[in-house]
Amino acid sequence: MNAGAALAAVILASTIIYALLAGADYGAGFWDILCSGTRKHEQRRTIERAIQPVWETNHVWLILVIVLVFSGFPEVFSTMCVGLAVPLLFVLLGIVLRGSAFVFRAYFVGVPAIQTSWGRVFSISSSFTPFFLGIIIGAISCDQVIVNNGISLNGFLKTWWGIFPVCVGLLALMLFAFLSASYLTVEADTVELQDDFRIRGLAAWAASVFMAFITFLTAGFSAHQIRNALMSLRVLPVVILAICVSLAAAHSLFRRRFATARVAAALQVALILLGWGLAQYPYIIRPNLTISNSQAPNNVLVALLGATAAGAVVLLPSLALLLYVFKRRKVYSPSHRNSTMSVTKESGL
Amino acid sequence: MVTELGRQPWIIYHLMRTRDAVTSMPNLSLTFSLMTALYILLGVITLWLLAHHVIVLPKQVNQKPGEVTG
Repeated sequence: MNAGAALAAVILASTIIYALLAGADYGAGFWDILCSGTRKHEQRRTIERAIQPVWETNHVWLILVIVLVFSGFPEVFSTMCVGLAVPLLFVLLGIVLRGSAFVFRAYFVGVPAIQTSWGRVFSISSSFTPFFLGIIIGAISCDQVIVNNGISLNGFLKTWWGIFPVCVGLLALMLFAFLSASYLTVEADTVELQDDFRIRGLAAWAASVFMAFITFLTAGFSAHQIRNALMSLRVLPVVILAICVSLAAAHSLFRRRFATARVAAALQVALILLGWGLAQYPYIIRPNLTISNSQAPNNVLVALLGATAAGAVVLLPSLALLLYVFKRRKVYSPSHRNSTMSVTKESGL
Repeated sequence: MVTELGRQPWIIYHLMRTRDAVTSMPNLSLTFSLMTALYILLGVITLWLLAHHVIVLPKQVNQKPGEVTG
């Protein structure tokens, strides 16, 4: 394996981790606006408590992806920044707005009306961000993004506003919603709340299966090559495994085995992205940019891989500690846990 | 500001000029002003909130510490 392919694998791995962690935060934001019924406030509190300690940290992975693409595959970076400027702008807007709105909602204490408005901003921006992230994934897979000498051949809309990228965008949103609901069943501290998120999870699962089917159909019109690659012997085993894991996830959620469902849902999303990455190989942006024709000089790639490995030594244990502190299994009684939770939060912030 | 202004007109010193590095995407002023306006708005809200929390809220003794974590 050469350095370019190794770096591409690191980028794909970070993308997968970003989807598993931050994807669930986006999904939680999507559910925030759909909180309803008698337990509306409890649902919202569960969501808030679940994402509060981790939502900023989870963007580390997106930053890693951006930096590695920027330095390792400059041609890809410039092509995306020109051809996909519009969806990237929406992603940026969404990330900025959801973060600020989430924090503002928490700080506007005592003014419920303003808190509701910020909650709405948080939820809407959390929903359109994964949609546009999915659109970007779809657009670079379907031969639309072609940039020559800084001029985008398909303008600034036709590069991404097509039936296939839009379907991938909706699929990403539904997958993140499913992922998030499965995580939230484990975070919920009453049986009723678990049920609320269980129902939402099953609905999102059905919607994501439907969207996956539609996406596959529309790929027949506008993204033949990625569809053929997904059906090739190299990728098909991953696709089949993803389908099996997806069924297992829905089944465990249905049977209330929430811990298993959480793992299966995460594995499903990881396998889908892995399958996409394998199908895309050796391309990064179809039809022109491959790993080998867009990579930086070899010494830069080796240095980047070294720097990433050194960074991982610091990053991974810190993240593991963060998740251990905030996400370990509940071992206290609810009342005791609540008091210790607020103490840890205070010292953590 | 010293590093950024002092380096002009180069974006990478003696290698690439800033005007050669700017994106070829049109209507740049539109996105630039949109993002600038958004950041100014968010900045003002943040300042107001911080001021509010430091000046007004300590007078309210019934404030629970757990409520104001972000």
